Amino acid sequence: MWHQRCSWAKGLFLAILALAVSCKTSDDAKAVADQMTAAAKDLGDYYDALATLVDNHARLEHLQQATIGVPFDQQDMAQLQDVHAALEKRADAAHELANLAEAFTGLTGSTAPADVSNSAANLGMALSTVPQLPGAANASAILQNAGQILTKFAQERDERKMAKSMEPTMSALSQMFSQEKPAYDSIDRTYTELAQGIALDLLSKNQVDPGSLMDPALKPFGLAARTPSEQVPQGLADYAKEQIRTRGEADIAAHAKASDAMDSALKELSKRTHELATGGRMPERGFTVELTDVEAWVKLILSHM
Amino acid sequence: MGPSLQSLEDQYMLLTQNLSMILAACPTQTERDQVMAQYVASRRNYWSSLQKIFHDNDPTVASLVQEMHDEQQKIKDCTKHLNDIARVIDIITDAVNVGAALAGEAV
Repeated sequence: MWHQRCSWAKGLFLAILALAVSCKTSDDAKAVADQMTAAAKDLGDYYDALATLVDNHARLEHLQQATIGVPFDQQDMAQLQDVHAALEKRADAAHELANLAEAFTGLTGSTAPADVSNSAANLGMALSTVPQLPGAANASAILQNAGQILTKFAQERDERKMAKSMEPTMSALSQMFSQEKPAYDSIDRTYTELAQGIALDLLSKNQVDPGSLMDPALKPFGLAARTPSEQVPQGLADYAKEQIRTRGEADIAAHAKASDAMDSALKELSKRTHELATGGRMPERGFTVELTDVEAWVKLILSHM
Repeated sequence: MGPSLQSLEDQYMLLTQNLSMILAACPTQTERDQVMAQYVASRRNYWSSLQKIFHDNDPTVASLVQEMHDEQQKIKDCTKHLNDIARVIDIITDAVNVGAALAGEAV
């Protein structure tokens, strides 16, 4: 009797343990999927903003042509459009990853994973068309294979296998971002420094109204600055120059912080996907990487539009 | 980003920062056109290399990067003596030609 009770209790214990392990795994998978959804969405927004910056760079070159006559022809436009397209492909892939991660959340529940299969196929297609930026040749090849693997394993309806299939994708995306990050920083720097150069030139030619610099003193009283019709007073011109310099530096620093944060987030996510794929669980679930710097920079770029 | 693309960015940005000043020092439109042609070439070297890969350990590439550093210093020095604009244009042209040779090494 005791032996029977003991066997029954042992069986119950094992069943509860199995359930507990299963729940833990499912919760971990959901946690990874949630984190991946958030990070991939921000990654997509980041690439969209960087592509917008390249568009703005083209507008600056047009302006430079209009103001000082620097040639800007179809060849120049085509170069910028190529870079823009390369960044948009990355944005598409990141948005598809966000869709897949969201569908992956559904896979951890009881719903049929048709969405996962579709999302995986879309991601695979998006990944296979990502062109290279410097140093990303290897990552591009891995991404293309990862897309095919994802499509194949999405049919398995098993979160561990899905995690395993997503692991190389996350790893490749993270690797690509790390390798290309200096190029992203460079795109941001050249945009800001070109804008600074044009702004300083316009200021020196008395083509800038520095009235907004007086807003802090006048707006509280419902007043607006009067645009000087002659040469801008030297003190105001110096103030405007200082603003062009400091805001430019701040914008470059904001992008550097954003790309650092995105890089860290992708590395952490890659690590956690690996932990889930190999061990079936994550040692910790909370997301320690802050993405607010990425979101703040994206907002900053959109505010420049 | 390795030293190759960085040096192309540095050249493009140095010329951007000094462009107005150099153009203002040109006595004729012909010289202004020469300066702007070199500026556009430098800009194209940068953008065309952004989507390519440099083998920074290649001795030819490393040598061109070193030349880029030397030329960069020459441009900085010559912008202090804009009265001799013909010499300034020669220095910029040499520097941009090195940039074009470097950009040509990207694959």
